[in-house]
Parts: sequence; structure tokens; C-alpha cells
Amino acid sequence: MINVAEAISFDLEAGQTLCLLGESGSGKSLIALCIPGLLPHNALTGGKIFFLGKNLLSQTEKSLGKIRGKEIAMIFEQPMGCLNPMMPIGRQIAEALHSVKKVGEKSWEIPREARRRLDEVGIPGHCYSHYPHELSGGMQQRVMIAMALAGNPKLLIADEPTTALDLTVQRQILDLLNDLKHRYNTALLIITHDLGVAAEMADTVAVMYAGRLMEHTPVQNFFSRPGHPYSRALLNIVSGKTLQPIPGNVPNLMDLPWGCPYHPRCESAGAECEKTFPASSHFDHGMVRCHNALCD
Amino acid sequence: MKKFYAGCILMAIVMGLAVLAPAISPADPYAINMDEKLEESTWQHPMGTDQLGRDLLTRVLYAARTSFGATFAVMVVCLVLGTLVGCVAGFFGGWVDQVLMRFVDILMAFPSFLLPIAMAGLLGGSMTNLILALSLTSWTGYARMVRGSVLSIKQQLYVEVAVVMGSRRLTTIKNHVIPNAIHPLMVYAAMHSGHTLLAISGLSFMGLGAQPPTPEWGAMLNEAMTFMGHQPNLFVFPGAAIMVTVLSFNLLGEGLQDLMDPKQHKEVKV
Amino acid sequence: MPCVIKAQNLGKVFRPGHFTLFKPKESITAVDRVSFSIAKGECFGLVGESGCGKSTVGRMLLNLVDATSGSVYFKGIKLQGLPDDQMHRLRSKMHIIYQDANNSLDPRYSVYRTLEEPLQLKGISGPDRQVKISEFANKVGIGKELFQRYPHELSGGQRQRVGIMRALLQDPEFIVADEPAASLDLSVQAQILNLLETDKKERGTALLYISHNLSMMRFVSQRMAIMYLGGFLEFGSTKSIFENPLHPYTQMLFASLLDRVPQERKERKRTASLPNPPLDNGGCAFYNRCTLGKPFCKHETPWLREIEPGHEVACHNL
Repeated sequence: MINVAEAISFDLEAGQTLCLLGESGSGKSLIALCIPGLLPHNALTGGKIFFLGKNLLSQTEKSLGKIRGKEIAMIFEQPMGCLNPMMPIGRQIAEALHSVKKVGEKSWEIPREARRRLDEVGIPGHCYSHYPHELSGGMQQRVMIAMALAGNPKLLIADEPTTALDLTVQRQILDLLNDLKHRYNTALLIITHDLGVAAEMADTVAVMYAGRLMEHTPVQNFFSRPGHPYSRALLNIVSGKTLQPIPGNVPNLMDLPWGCPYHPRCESAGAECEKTFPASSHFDHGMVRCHNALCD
Repeated sequence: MKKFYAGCILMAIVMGLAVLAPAISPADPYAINMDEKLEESTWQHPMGTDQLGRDLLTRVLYAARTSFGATFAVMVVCLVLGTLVGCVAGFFGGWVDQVLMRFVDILMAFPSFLLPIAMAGLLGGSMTNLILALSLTSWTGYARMVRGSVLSIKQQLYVEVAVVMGSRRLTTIKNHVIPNAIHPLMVYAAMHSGHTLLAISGLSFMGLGAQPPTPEWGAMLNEAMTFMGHQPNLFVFPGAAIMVTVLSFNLLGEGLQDLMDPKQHKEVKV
Repeated sequence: MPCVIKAQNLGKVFRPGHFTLFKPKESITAVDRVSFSIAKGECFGLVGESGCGKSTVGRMLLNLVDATSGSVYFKGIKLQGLPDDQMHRLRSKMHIIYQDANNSLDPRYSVYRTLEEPLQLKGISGPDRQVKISEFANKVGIGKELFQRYPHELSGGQRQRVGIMRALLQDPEFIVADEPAASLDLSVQAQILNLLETDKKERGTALLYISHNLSMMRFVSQRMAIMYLGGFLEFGSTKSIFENPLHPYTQMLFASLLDRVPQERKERKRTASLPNPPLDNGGCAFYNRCTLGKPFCKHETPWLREIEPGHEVACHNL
């Protein structure tokens, strides 16, 4: 049994964006999968996830199925893997719309609605009958976003939405997400390892390391006065004239060090850090887990 | 894993019995004894005797050698020929590939049961002719398979890296292409051998393969037809032997296929 | 500094390999008259978005892809048309590192076996191989416990390190690094880039660094080029390009870089997202998306002209 994540607490309001920041091996994608209940069967979850007042972890698979796709939607890093290669994209959006259709809505209006949605995400009308492989990576991601927003979800989870895309396309997709967020007042949870994405999109930033939440703070705080040494180290990597990587490697989740998992690489590590995992200390609307945090 | 182990064990048993047949058989498979014909199972003849008084158990065990041996012979010829042609066609490409594959296409269009019949008709029925005929019609499937594997491996980056590092063509084929092509080939060979055994038995049943008095399961089934009412043992035991052996080939093949998958397992992104 | 590798008017046109019944496929110009050189101990950066031909250029420099036009010179020796055994002798002096470490390692070889191969090909004996691999492994950051593992048992960063170590073991004089750090975390990216930098300084390796990540270029390369649909749009020292990007495309790339300053989320001009525009015969490749585009640009192909010392741009409007 591997303890993959521990003591994760955060909240997210409508119309706000939370960026879950972390490197590979930090557990951030698992948290994202946990919320809509997409973890594999051998995953044991504890705690509570409150979505609009309901605890998701205590819902049945049937009621989760009603929430997924309609009130909670998700987009992933590789859009090509999530699109049916044998179906034109217009039909795929229509299919998504069909599955979230409410009682009383007419089926024959769906193709028109599908075109409207495509237009909304910036895909020209003539692409309605194109197949996924005929579109570029950026266009495919737009289709994914349109499909995800089919049910007008209250929460959109985006797992590394722009990592696989070129610079200019990345900018366009992030602008699109922001646009749609404002228009529909959707809460946005973005999983990423890119600090630039966090700077661009987030209202609050939650930093994860080895399955633990190390810092959760408003975005301005994070970039100007980061509390956790890990956050500072991340920001330092490309801030100087030369690259300053964090010494060492991300620990194996099966073989975590005692106490604070970051202490072997931490420049501010003290004796206490090797013994106990720090409790969360709250300051300035934010939270830090560090024995030696710089707090004001 | 379970399928693979089951297949291995079963295959080992059958092979073991075939190899040790002379040592463990209670009698001579060719010894005729008209006094003891068509007998039931006794301690002396655990499976009974056939219409010429020969011990059935002995004949079934010796037939394992014939059938198994023939199946292996076909598999080996197909493997060698198919791998050679498939590798050359796949790796060198161009007109070499085109010429070889058109040749393969022509051979594949030949109905696979007609050739053994034709050969038996022209040259007389025998195990050798049967093995030859079956090999000639089956090797093309192996060649196609290997060519497909080689084509996809050729595009892998590690092959390109080997070229960049200064590996010569033949060295690259030996070091990288063949080891990676072998696994799917082994699966195919195992599954195909099951079919081959059925074909050998079927054609021997029709009298085109093993000639009497050579014991062979298919031929024994043919002999058993006349005596179905009198002595069901004569077709139950050889038939069961065919079934068990084909099953072991299939299990082995499917087990190998399952074994290959975990290696390409996607790691869960954390 | 002596020049290690030189590309002169390199061009590559991909023609359709087969006859299509209904619609003749057009040929694609992947690389269009590209020229540059890399000196000993220098890193040259090649930046562009996907589909611009930068990987093809890298492969042409190693003679893995035949050039349709132009030539590549390795230390003065022309690679195009070189007889096989002479090319083979040069092979171990040039190496490549890929983005996709997953595919570039043979899945049936353990890490140690993968690392042995380049030394074996060079003819180094068994015990010597062991010594050299252990030495390097320490430097590169691959622990001995990884030697018996297989690629699918390693993390992305570890795989990439193995790929790099394999490249460095042959003491090459020229390395093409094709997006070596693209899919990795920032800290691991930084470690890998520092590794390449250290090796470059110690042994004077010439490095061609191909990437779509513009921001990392200032740490890695001394000179760079911005590539678009097969041609160079801007070319010069990294410093001058970063201080003063001149070509509209380069400016667009810089504008797309995500700021680290969250307060300044300015309203940005939205550029239309177009599917890959075809390369016209004649005319600027960037015309369709350019804000400065004039009718003249549609017909006349701009060539690289020096605007500042050590800074060339291919644009009619500068």
C-alpha cells in the first residue's frame, strides 16, 4: 500500500481559478482524478470532498455519473487521445450535448447548438465535419473544451491543458479558458507544472510536493513573497542569469524521507524538519506547511 | 501469467511423454496380436487394443512423436524461411520488398489444403510430403508478420540512434530489430502450431500423411471410424490427445501474448 | 573558433511516395535554403513551433535524412554523397538526443546494456567499458542501482539522463539535441541543460539545441535562429534577439511567453488560429498571419539581411 497523498485541503469558489502546481510525482493529477471519482478501484480515499454541499466521496456511482460531465467536467493534456478518431468533431460535440440534455430540450436543436459551441471556442464552421486528425493540436484542445462545457459545468478541471501545445497556441487556449470562465462563472481547477500558466490564470496557487500540500496562497503572494522554501526554489530556477535547478530529485512515493518530504533538498532545513511533518500555519489568507516558513 | 504456466506445463507433459515414449510404453507399437484385438482397458493394456491387437497406449504415445515432430518441423521451417524473407523485405524495403511481397502474395492465394492433396497425389502420401506441403503454404504468414514487425521497429528512435552511433545495418538488425520482433513472432508461432497440428491430423485422417503402420493420431481416428460401435476407446484417446496438445499450444500462445503486455503498460501519471 | 558543422543552403522537399488515384498530393517543402554554422564549444539554438522543419534540419546535419538541395560540412568534409564506410567512420563523432526518451531506448535493453552499446561500437573492451560507464554515471547523476533496470521502470528524467549519457559516452564533437527537455519538469529541465552546458565547456562539443521553448534559449545558446515553415526568419546572437526581437513572428512568440508577473495581465491582441497555411511559391511564408503584411510581401520572398551587427532578419518591412 502506497500513501500517495495526504492531508490535502483547499476550497474553490465559483468564477475563481485554483492552480494546483507541482512536479511529476507530486500527486496533483491524482487529486484531479479523485474529485469526479475517476480513480482506479484499488484506490482508497479518505476525507471529504464537498461539491455544492454534497460529499462526493459518499455518493454512489450512479449519482456520480449524473454529476460527471454535467456539473464537473474535465479536460486532459493529450486531446487526440480523448477524441474519437472515427467521428467528425461536430458529431462528437453533438453527442456530448445529447448526453447532458435536460428534460424538455429538443433533440433537433442539438446540431445548431453544436455549431454555436464550436464557434464559441473559435473553430470555424466548416470544421464541423472534419475528423480529429485533420485538426492541429490547438484546435483539438478547443474541441475538448467545447465538449467539456457542453453541460455548463460549475467546475472545470484542466489537467495540463497546454503542456503539449506550441507557445502561441498555448496563449490562445489560456485566453479562451479565461473568457469562458468569466462568461459562465465556472470554477476552474488547473493542474500544471508551469509557473507561467499559474501566473497567467490563477487566483490562488496550491503547491504540492510528494503528495502533500505545501503552500496555498493567493497568486500575488506566491510570486512576490512565497512562504515555502520549495516555492522559492521553483521561482529561482529561471530567475537568474544561469539556470539554478533544485539539487536532488523528487522522492519516490514508496520511499519518502521522515518528517517533511522536502527536507533533503531544502536550503532552510533544520533539525525539526527531519522528525515531524509540519502542521499548517495560516497567514495572510494563505497556508504554509513549513517549520521555517517566512511569514509576515 | 496463469495461462502461460498452464500452457508450459501441459506442453512439457506432452513433450515429455513423446520423448520418453520408447521408455515408458508397455509394448511395441507395431506388434500385431490378433488374439487380443479390440479389447477393453486392462492393466496390461491401459487404453485397450486396436483392431490388430496392438496396444493403444503405446500407439498413442508413439503417435505423439510423429505428430509433434511434424508440427515442430513445420514450425521451424516456417520460422526460418518466414523470418529471413520478412526481415529482408522489411529492412531493405524498396524493390526488394515489393518483389518478395508479391511472391508471398501469390503463394498466399494458393488454397492451403489443395497443395498437400496435390502432392500426395503426385508423389504419394507420406509424412515428409505433408510437412513439405504445409510448410510451403504456411511460411508466408510468418513472413508477413515479421515484415510488419520490422517495419514498425525500423521507425523507432532507438534504431535511428543505433545508426547514429555507427552501427552497421546487419549489426542493427541483429542487436535491435530481431530481439524486438521475436516476441510477437513467438506468439504467432505458438498459435499457428495449434492449427498446424490440426491440419496434420486432418490430412492424415484423409490418408495423405502418415501411412500405416506409422502411428499418428489423425490416421488412428480414421481407423477408429469402422469400429466406432465396438470400441469407442479407439477414437476417444487419440482425439483427446489431439485436443490436449492443441490446447497447450493455444494456452502457450495466449500466455505469451499476455506476458508481453505489461512491458508496454502506461505508467500512471502522478 | 574553428567551425565544426556547417549547413549551406540546405533544402528538403518531401514528395508523395505513391500515386494517389483521385487527387495528386502536393510536395511539401520542409526546409527551405537554410544556412548556418556552429563552432567548437558553441551552442546554436533553433526555435520554432511544431511543423516548422527544425527536427528535419537536425536530422539532415547528421545525414539521417537526405537533403534535396544544399550540403552539410562536418569539419570541412561534405557529408552528402560521402561513401558509406567514410560516413560510418564519422558517425561516432556526431550524436543525437531526442525528446522522447521513451522511444529512443530499446525497451529490451537494461540501462547498462544501453550504455554499453556506443562503447562496443567504438571497439572498447569490456573492463574499460565498465570503468568509463561508472565514471560518467556519477557525473550525469545516474545511480548504480539503475543499471539493471529497464526503460519502463525509470522516470522521465532518468530516461532522459540515460539518453544523454549514451550520447556523451562516445565523446562526440557535435550533438543535436532535439527538444531534450520538453516533457520534463522545470527543475529536471534545468539540471539537464546544465549537464549539457558543463559537457560543452569541458570538451568543446558543438551543440545544436532545437526547441519550441523560447524562454530557455537565453540560458543555453549563444546564437540562435527563429524558424517558420522551413525558413529562417530571424538569425543572430541570442542576446540581441532577446533584447530586440525584430521580425513580427519573433515578436509574436515573445508576446506569447507567459509572464511571471500576475498583476500585469494585459489585454492581449488575439491572433487568429489558422490551420497550417501552405507554403506559397514565392512570397513570405508568414504573410497570412503578419500584422505588417503588405501586398508586396505576398509575391517576393524576403531573405536574411543584417539589420544590426550580428542580427539578421528576413522581412521586407524593416
